[in-house]
Amino acid sequence: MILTPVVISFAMANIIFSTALFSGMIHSLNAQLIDNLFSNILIEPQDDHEYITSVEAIVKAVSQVPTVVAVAPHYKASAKFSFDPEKDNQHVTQRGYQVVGIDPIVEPNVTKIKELIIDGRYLEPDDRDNIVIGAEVAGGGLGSFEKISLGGVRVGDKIRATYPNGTTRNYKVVGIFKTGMDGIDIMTFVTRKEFEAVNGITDRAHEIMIRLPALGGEKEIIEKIRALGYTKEKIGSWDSFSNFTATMSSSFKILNFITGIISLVVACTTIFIVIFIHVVNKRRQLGILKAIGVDEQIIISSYIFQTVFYSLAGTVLAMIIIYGLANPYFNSHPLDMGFAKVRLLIEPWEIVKSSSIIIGASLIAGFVPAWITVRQSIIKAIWG
Amino acid sequence: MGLIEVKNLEKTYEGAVPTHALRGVSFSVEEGEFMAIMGKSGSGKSTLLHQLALLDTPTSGSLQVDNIDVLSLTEHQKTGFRLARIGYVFQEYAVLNELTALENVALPLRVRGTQTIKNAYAEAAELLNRVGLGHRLHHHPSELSGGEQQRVAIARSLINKPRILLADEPCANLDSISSDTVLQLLLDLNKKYRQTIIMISHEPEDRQWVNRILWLKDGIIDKIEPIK
Repeated sequence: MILTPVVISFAMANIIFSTALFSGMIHSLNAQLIDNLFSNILIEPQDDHEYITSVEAIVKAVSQVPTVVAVAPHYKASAKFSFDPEKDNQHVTQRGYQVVGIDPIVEPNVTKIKELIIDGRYLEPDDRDNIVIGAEVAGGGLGSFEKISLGGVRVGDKIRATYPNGTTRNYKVVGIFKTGMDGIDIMTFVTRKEFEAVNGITDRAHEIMIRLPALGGEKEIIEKIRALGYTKEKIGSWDSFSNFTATMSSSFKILNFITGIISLVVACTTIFIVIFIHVVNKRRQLGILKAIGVDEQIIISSYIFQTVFYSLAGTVLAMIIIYGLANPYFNSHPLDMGFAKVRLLIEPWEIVKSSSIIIGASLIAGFVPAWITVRQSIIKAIWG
Repeated sequence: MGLIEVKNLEKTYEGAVPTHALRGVSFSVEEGEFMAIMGKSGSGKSTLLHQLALLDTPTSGSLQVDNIDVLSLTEHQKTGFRLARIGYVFQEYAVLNELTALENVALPLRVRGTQTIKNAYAEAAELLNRVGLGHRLHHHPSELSGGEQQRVAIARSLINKPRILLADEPCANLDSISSDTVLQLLLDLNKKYRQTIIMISHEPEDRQWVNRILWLKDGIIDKIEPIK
């Protein structure tokens, strides 16, 4: 009697868990892109232009668009970095990384790099000789791919950067950040002032990030920005700028769909078999009830009621498993998937959907054998 | 005209080799009669009782109970007929294990819906008292002996005050003391309430309880033996 709701609960927990895990992966991946790489909306230079010009005016205008939270212009360049830990010119490591020039005041309103500093501090507005680097750049066990790192840079170490224009700068590492996504942790950050001084430019940007309070309003804001007269620049939402992550996200969605369908079929089959056996085992009782004079409809209704009760009890048990055990566990021990720490993302709609399907399957599983049994002869039902 | 009129009742079980369980059985049972059906194993006793209880449908023939052609009733009507007019005692107790003795007995009355729950339980308790189980009202079947379970089944078959009580070897699995208790109970019901009882039996000594014995042989009536 207890076995039936327990089996239902595990079947249902399986559906919710696999869906919540894949939803969590997709959510974490998207969150990384939005929080640390593209923000909600990204403006890039028009075709055949290296820079966006008159950036201050753009920032001012876009900042006044309703619901825009913050606007952050970035400079970007590839630079050759070298690190000489022994300072003897014998053990120099050289690698190429991207340098991003940011405004340390505005940037934390757009990206979350500041919150993800694992050692040292974030940049300050007047920093010129200081740099913040990602864990994959620092290496020495902080990142995942040691061979692409500088081999163990720590806060306080000096690294040398050679820009494409030939300018060489010695930077003191003031902070190391780690987002968990290798593509971001392989970046370095200096102030816009430093970048402008090195490259001899001002009031320009390679990209402008725009932060919104929530997902979903991107298209509307892009239209408003274009309406301000910025029609030649490439303006897009976060998901239009990353083919790789979009493919990954799409793959997760497909996997989620397939595993969801498989889990659902397995759950429904399991529940059907368990309830079917339960009702078939009661066949003699059904025969006795019919022999006493209990109407067929009453017998069928009572078994349907019983199976609905079992499936509701199973649903409650499944909620306890998911919300009482799995969710707290993954909140305190998130899965490290390489691109992010993944937690379960339990969506209420999925719970409602799974519960409805499970209860529906239980209803059919309860009805069919009860109906078959009451239709057969009483003698056969009782004595087989 | 008797309370039960059986004419040319036939029952054939289809199969690779069809089995003719009943081959033209005709007899009549008067109200208040206590009749036994006897015969060797395979003579068609249980098949005949199943037809009388509307648990099965004969291949041909007619069956009238209380002037009603019961074979023309729909399944739904037959169910209602069974509930209101026929009590049936199975050979193997056939009580519901999840219910207590009191709940088992009250069940047909509750299904019929003619009494409140309180009254249904009161009547069930009275019947259980009458069959000597007043002290076992709240026991489940697993806590009762075979004889006690059979008495629960008999009490359940009587709760709706059926005019006809059909019993399929009610003492087959009971010891001699329990058998006597059950048969005495049936006789009391027959005497006090003019309950019409048809009982299948294998035991020759059971003739002491009944008015008439219908002997079956190979699906036909061998003889009908009145008992003084």
